[in-house]
Amino acid sequence: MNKRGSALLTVLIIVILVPIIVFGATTFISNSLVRYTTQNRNMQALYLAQGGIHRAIYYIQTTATPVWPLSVPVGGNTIAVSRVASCSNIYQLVSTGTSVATTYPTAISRSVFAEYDSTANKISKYLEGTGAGIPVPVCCDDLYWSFDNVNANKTETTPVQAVYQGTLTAVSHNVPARVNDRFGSAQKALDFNSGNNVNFVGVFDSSGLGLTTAGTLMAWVDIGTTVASAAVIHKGGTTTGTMDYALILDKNGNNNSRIQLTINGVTSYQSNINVSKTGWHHIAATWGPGGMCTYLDGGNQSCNATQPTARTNNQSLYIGKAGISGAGFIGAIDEVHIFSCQKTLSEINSIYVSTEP
Amino acid sequence: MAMVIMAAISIPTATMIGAQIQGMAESSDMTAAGNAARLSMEKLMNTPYASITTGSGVPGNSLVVGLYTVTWDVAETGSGAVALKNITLTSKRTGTNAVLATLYASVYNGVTYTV
Repeated sequence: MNKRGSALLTVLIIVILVPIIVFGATTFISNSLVRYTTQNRNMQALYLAQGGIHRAIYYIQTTATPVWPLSVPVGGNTIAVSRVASCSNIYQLVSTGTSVATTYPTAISRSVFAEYDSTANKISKYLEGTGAGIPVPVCCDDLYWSFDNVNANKTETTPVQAVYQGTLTAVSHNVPARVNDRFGSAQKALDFNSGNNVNFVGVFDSSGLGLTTAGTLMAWVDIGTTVASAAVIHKGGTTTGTMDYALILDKNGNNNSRIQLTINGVTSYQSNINVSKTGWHHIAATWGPGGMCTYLDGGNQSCNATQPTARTNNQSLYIGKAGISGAGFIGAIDEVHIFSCQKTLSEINSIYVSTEP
Repeated sequence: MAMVIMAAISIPTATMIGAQIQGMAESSDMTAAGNAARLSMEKLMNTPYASITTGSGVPGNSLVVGLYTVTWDVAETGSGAVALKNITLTSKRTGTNAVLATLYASVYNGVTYTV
């Protein structure tokens, strides 16, 4: 091969090989840039998702009725938090952070799952991903009317939720009167249907009142000497076809009051223990896997094996009003609780002990 | 003729090689800046709520500061027990203005983990 031929070959090699090498190297570098940028944006998306959980917690703590999903733009990126499930104080949340880049326009998303207890301000489950397979929390929501904060004929629930606010209602004469509670504190309990008054507290139906397979109803009562069959707590209408559940004090043949739980107007269970006509007493009734049970003063448990399922409808909840039969409750009521689960003897005893005079 | 061809190839090739070198430098910059950002953010996330304040550097690790400057701004919403701090953290090569990594995080006051 002569010199000219060698030169031509060299040039050809350069012309062919150099672009290949340069193209390969450029591709490698370009991919590296994409990879490292992607790594950083992945990290950014994960922190966005984690931050979304904390932003959602703040939202829960500062908003009476949180609306989901919660969307938050952050520096051109986005956070979306959805509620998977919740009880009154337990929230299962999935937060998705999306990193939106301009250089490499594909959005990168990462998700974080958290289970948050808003009462204890505690995260009990926390993992990356959407939490698939994690069971929903076992709810035992507590709707509680203390009657301590009666204002303009309204009585608040705890936690404060407007939809469960009770209205003091008079059928005739006056609304329930504010009287001393079991500690002697003035105007901390309500007196029903005394004298010529016919009255009650009414609460419009809302989802938390829709108990079905389990529930607990409880209250402190001072029944006085005028014994009548009466509903302390009554959800539903006044017929067996519309009544949902009720905690009743039933007047027996010996003029004594006994605690009775009635579901759907037809399934009832009554203890054989009389409620004293003197002073305040704590009454409770539960239904669920443990059957139908009644409790007096944190004990005196009495159960059967029936496991009824209460119907749900849009009927209101009443405190101190007549149920399917009998008159309105006569006497004082305080500290009404409706739990969405069946409380145990020890749990009811704990509540009794912590609230007894 | 050969010189002309060589020149025609060499000039763009040299430009590309330069771009490659710059790209490699950027890649390593991004990685290191991202690591510095993550290190700083993790330290912030493990700082007591009241002590999370706007600052710069890498908390507890000043060695990295020489190469990269990490800066974080903290904005608080709410007050007392019901408060949220939003953190915006940026990482740059020291002495430059180009932001190589940005992270956003939030911390709610007093929340505990029992996982």
